Amino acid sequence: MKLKLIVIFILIFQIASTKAEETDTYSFSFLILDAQTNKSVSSADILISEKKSSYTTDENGELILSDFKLGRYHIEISKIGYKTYHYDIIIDSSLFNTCLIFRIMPISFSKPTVIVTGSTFSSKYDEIFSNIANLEGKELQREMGMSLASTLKNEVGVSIRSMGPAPARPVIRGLGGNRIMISQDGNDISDLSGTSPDHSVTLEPFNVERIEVIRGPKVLLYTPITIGGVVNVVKNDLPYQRSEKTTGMVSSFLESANRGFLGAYNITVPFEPYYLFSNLSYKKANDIRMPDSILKNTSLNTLDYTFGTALNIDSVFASVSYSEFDSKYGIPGGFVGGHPKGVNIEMFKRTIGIKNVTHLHYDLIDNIELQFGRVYYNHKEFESNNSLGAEFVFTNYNGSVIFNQNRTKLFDNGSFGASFNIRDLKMGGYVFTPPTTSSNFSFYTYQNISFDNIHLYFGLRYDYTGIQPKPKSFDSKIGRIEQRNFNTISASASILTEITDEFALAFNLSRSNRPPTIEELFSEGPHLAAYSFDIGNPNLKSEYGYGLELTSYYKQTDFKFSFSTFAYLMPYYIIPRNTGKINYAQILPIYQTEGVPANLFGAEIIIDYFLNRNLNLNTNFSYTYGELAESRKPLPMIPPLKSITTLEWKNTKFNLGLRITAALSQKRVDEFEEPTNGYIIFGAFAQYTFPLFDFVSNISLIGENLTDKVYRNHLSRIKSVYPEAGINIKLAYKAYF
Amino acid sequence: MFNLKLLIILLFGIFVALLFYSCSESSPTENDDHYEAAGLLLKQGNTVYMRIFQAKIDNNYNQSISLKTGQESLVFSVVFLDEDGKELPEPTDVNKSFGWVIDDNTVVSLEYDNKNKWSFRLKGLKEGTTNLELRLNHNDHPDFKTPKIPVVVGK
Repeated sequence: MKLKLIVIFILIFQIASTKAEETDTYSFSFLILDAQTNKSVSSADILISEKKSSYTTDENGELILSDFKLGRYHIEISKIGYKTYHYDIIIDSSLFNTCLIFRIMPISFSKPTVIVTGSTFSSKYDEIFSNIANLEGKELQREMGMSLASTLKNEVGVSIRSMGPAPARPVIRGLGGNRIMISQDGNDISDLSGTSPDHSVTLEPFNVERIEVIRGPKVLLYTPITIGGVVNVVKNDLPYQRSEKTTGMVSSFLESANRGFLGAYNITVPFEPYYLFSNLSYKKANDIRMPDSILKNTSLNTLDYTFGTALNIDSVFASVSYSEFDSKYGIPGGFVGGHPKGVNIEMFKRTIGIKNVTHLHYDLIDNIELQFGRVYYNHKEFESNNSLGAEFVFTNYNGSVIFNQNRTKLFDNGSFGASFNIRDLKMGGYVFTPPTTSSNFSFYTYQNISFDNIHLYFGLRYDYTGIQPKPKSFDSKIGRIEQRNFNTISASASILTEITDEFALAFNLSRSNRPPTIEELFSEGPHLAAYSFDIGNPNLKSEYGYGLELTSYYKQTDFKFSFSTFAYLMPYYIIPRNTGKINYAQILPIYQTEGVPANLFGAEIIIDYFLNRNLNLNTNFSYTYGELAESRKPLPMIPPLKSITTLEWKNTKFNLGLRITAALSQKRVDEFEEPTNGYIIFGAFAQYTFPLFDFVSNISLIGENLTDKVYRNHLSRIKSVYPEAGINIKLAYKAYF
Repeated sequence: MFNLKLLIILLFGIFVALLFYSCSESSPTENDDHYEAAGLLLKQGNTVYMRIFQAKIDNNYNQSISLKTGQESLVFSVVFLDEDGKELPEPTDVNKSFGWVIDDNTVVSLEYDNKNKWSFRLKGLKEGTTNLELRLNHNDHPDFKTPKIPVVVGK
């Protein structure tokens, strides 16, 4: 039976007390354990690429290796009946006499291969792109912020759209809103954060295992939009893996700029064949401090929890979960484009999910994954006197079936599946958009084929999207409001060539589609919190375009270099444009959504260099250029060139680092958009990992904007009057058991 | 196999129970107030002193308000106009209120009578020129506002 893999859990370092000797070569040992039973795994194969040698564990699951020089090694662990596991390890003096313990997962209980999972890569393509944006472990803890966007802000190509700290949302390569899908464990998070800058993302980053940006053909498993990427948060609310002991995590987080704190836990308790699982996070933050003042009405208060049960019998795994996300936050006001006195928002989301994975191990199909969920979402906006200004309520039903394939003669592996999503959206308060029911049905596949050093990946997806207003048809100021149907086919193909063992080239070509949102079609008035007079256009077509991307990747033991350049050619790109008309009531220019030709170009560079065995220099650059294709005028809200450089000293216990973030000014702006100046800000961090009782603990101290510099985020809606936060000290603690 | 079926049915039952639990979810609070002003008339008695429509001061009527220092104007009553230029009834929503902004409060003051919600007087304070903006406020933001109305205070 063909094996492929995924490994879970953490790599545990057992540090010997003996100090490294001053020799040129080192020895250390491996111990391979079964992740379910914790028993040793004998006869597991360990392939070390750099030594071009393979080894086998003994009857105790152990393997002792000697004659290793300092440097980075790529290892592959495989064993019949288990998933194969790839990992890059750095051999330094601190690993002398160390035992590296790996827990590997039996194939029948592993996660489906369609999910890109952290330290294990299901393809070479994933391996390369995981270096571009993939946060987990210590790095995730170091980058942790109060929102998903602030957690991702130091990743290459990622910017933050904001309107105060709470509703921040990631922007990738200048693409934001609904063009960037945010998913949790592969499923859309179901909120309205993509539709308006004051709507917050209903996801807490602190309780997640990993955050990744998925690019390339694989995005078609999630969305018809092939440009940009999918921000996937791996939280595992519905656990797959079997465990014989209670596992979990407790954590806390403090932040000075907003005097915020957060506490979180997650736990899984086995009562075989049942498992009970639960996680919770609570955060509270006050108004944020800027270098020269306090930004009023930016406090937030969020409770997020999940509980559920799972069962596992033979090769069938099923689970049901219930979760709530309850948040209250403020939107500042008193500026052009904002509500005069700010707005307070209350947001509530309830999710019920059921999931089933059945492992068949047939020749073609390895496993089938079924998922069904229901989401209730309620978002209320209150004015300063607590009167209700706007309300958005929807109930969402979604489901999917995914067949994950085994390797066949034709394809290495892949997946195909179908999904549906039905949303009933109603508005209240002073929102003049009609209630609408939207339905989406999709069919998709993702496959890859390898020929020696050439790897082909492709994805294909069909979507039907229907948007039906209530009543079904009527005339309004913006035109005839009636049902709209969109049938789209999206495709993406990549070719990756491993030119040498160190150097690879990848080229991607894709066609992207995005049906317009309800707001883009039917909105008829000012939005309270955003206080903009944007109206919809009921005649919009589906946004479409073509993406081209070339990535080169060079990797040596102590050096990695990646260069990506992209072009998104969009013959029909939906953005609000000035109609030349005035809203006579508020004397505001009326912006109406239109599909216009537009182009986005850009490049990203990542350099990662080990100056010595402990000292690492990582720097990245990202740049996006956006223009309206006909007029050559700038697209709105395009981030400036940004660079982040991190110098880090690390061993197995400590990580110490300095960081410089620099951005150039952005003078290329759309009508009514203000330019921003360039800036340089400094940060630092220190992390310490230590055992405490039976816990593996990690404590992080992070400083941001240490010089208290006044600087502005170009994608902030409030940048004209409010800069970004001043000096900010963050303290985070996590303990795993 | 029987146990497996039983357990899956149990899980499904939990799911259905949770769905029923969700039946208490609220629907949005609808507001049927669609009072949308596109202009206004400033009347003195039954006489239209000034007409503002679609963000412009109608040149068939006065283009500015003139006063003398120390003089109090006659009462101006405000009547809002709809998109067709027809007179709207007075707003009845308790969240709607009359508002104004004077660029230079040392030139003119506005006296507002709470008993008559949609009427006001102006008083010239010193010789000069300033601007007046009238508003139909909804809670703490204007649903409607006029362009700047010139106010001239002479000797």
